[in-house]
Amino acid sequence: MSLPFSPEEFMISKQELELNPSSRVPICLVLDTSYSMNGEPIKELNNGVKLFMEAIRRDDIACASAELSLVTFGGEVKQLFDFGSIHRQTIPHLAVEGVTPMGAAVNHALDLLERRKSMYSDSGVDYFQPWIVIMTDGAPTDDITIAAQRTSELVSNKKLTVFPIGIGPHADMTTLHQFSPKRRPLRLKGLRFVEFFEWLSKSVSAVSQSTPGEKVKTEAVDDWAEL
Amino acid sequence: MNLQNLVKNYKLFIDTSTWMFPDSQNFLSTELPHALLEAKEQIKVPVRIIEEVNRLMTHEKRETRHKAKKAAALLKSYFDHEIARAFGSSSDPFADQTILYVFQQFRVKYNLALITQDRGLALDTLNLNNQHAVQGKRIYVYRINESGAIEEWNPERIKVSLGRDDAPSRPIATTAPVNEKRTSGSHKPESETKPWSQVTRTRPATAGKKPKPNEMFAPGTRVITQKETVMQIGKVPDIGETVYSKVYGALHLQKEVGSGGEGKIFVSNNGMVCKIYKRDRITHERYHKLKRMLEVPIDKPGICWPKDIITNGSSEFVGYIMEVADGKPMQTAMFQKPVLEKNFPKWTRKDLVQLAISILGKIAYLHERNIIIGDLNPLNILIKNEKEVYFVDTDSYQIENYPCPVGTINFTAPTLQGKNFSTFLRTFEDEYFAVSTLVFMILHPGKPPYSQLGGGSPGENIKKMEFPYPCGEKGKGTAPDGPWKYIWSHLPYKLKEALYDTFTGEKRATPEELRDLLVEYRQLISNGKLGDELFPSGHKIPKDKEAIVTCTDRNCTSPTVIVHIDFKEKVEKRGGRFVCDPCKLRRKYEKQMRTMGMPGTSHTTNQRNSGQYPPPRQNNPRPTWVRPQPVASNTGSTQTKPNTATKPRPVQARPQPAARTNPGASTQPKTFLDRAINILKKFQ
Repeated sequence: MSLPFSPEEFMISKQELELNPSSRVPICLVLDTSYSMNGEPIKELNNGVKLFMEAIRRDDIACASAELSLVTFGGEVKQLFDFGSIHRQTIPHLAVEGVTPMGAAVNHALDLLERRKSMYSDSGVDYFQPWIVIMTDGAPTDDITIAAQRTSELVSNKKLTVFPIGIGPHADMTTLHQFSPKRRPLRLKGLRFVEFFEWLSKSVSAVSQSTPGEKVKTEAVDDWAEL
Repeated sequence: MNLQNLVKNYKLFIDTSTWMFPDSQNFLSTELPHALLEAKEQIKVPVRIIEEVNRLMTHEKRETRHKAKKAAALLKSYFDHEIARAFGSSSDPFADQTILYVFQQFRVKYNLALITQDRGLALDTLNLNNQHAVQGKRIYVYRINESGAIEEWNPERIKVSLGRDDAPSRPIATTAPVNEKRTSGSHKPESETKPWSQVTRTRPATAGKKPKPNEMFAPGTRVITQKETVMQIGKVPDIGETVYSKVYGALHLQKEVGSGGEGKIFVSNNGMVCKIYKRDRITHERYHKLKRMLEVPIDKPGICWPKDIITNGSSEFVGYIMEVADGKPMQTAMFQKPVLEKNFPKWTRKDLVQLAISILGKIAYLHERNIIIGDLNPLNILIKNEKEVYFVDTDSYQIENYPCPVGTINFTAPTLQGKNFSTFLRTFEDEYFAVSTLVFMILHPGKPPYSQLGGGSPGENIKKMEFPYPCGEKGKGTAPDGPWKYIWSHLPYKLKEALYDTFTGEKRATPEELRDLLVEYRQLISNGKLGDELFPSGHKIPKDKEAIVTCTDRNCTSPTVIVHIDFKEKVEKRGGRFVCDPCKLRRKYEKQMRTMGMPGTSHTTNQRNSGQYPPPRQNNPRPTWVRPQPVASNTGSTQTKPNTATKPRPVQARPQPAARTNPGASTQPKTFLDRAINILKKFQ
């Protein structure tokens, strides 16, 4: 994991910010890649992330607006990519490993978002409040108190939208709820990552398109989740 | 009657309103002079009109001054070429009345004709034909239409149009009491209201009455607020099915060409396009609104107005039919530099300006009919080329008391931000905000006017009304990074002023004003007086306006920068602190590096370095930023500021490629900029 970036990365990022006039929607995916995700779950998760990125790339408006970063927690926290043009990001291959440091991962994601927001502001780029998607199939193995406080505070101040997603029967929904004082965590039906990411990309398009309201107007969730 | 016959056989008068009407430029500067020279005839110009034009050149409104100056130039050239002759004296009544007086006096003796843009004057003049007490010759009255052609005033149309405050480019209201009668208070008399009673006329019977509902829309008065009620219908037609129109008969939905939140768009077998609503959008209110829209035929190419109601097999309302549109949505076709260059490879700045002019023409046409677009945005304007554009989704336009229930943040005036669009009627002023925003975003492809350094969400930025670009001495100095401020600096001053006044809340420019300013801009580009680049690479600095400022960053390696003299003065006023662009960039990078020590990050104990980019530690040297040395100054200390009195070299943007002297080093770029440029190349 490396939060600081090199002058090169900074320059590329800066160029993209200056030349692309679209208002941005920064989205950080915070994904559980701990060992318990082994087998079908990680396969489906990889599939879902791939389809998500492809869906955004296909949508002219969404790909000019949506900016992705990807943080995983499995054994340790890894930043697969920082915010930037989705065209130069590689579709990742996620592998499973070790324990579940969810708190550290969310903290890292928030740091990335803060930094991105300040870059927007320093460059004169409009942006909508960021989204964070937290997906886990279990319970954290580190302390999530501070991370949960940070997200809750941001959500209450309308500075962040959190999508907490539980995978399978063992996902700790109580913990997920702590990250999200407003939006209740959703449990994925089976391993329907694809449907979830389809829904997410549609929501991204909705925000980046005609009426980018301050509120996130999301699509119906019947397809993929059970409450 | 053709123009040749007109100038030969009639005494032709031209009213001030036509002299000052921007669209009559072509007619007045080429067509008419040719006809007059060929016929060896002269038009008649009352002295009062000349005086009026002269006076308007010092009018408090910039737009009026501007138009009057053009009119004066035209008049002067007419007199220079002896194709105009002045009549009358300063003691004549005001211009309009003089014309009426002359026409009334001489219509028995001469064939008389008038060109005016003023509906009221046109109607009053035509009414002289109806005075049966006097057997006179028939008077002809013409106007110049939007496309710059001469056409006869249709008395029926004028009567309908009267009572609205939209006489095109009417410079001043006519005098009382005539004026008060004929416009029923809709024209506000500006200054001269001295009664002049020599001309006695009967008031036109129809003037002052409401326009006929089948010829134009009335201004909205109160929004229709009741909740929409869904019609219960059987089948919502889809692709391959047949629908029906009373005008066009049975139609086959052949191909789906679009879909959205409201419904689907199909091309039908007659080449026209049908919009079929979703079941929950088929409401009584929508039906009534469409019916009303159909009563006023809008027949302007490029405006995809509803042409008829579409029903399903059970004669139930399901949508409407319209002309087919062509081109791509402005948003996706031109609001990203690479896409713009790909879609319109031959475009230069002049084409962007032309595009804005084409769009403003359509907006003005709609406004003349009291139609407010409401949800003006770059997704519902399709661009085929800079002259052919298509306005789609016209069913959402605000018509009379039917609101436009949708909108987007960027095109919503500050006072309306956050409001529910279906609960109020928009005003023309609200619309002007959207129009100016669109013009700004065409000229700065895709960049919203309030995006700025230190900004936040689009809505917040608009509400603060802090426009970041400079205008002369004024300006916040928070224009965003990138090419946008360069583009802005190359705009003509008057256009900047109009946009600046609009976005700071001083005064919103009208579409007509913007169009005139853009026509002028186009002219300045054609003459080579202003740049034709889509994305200029630097500020506009005329040769005689160059000045030197010194970067005050102590790490700056080439601190002398050539700037515009106005900018230098501004810097000095603010205390003389100036930081050059490369130093600003470096500072921004350093700021980013410092944000590592943010609250909440200390416990990310799992942090492991990739080893490639060590995180900077407090008090450690920051990454070294090597900047190209000014040529031949590599022996001097980088801390020493060159004497600003010496002639500076332009700041070099990038160093000479290292490869020139040391081929082996080319893969190992030495400076930060080198490295960054190399990386950027990979992605191009």
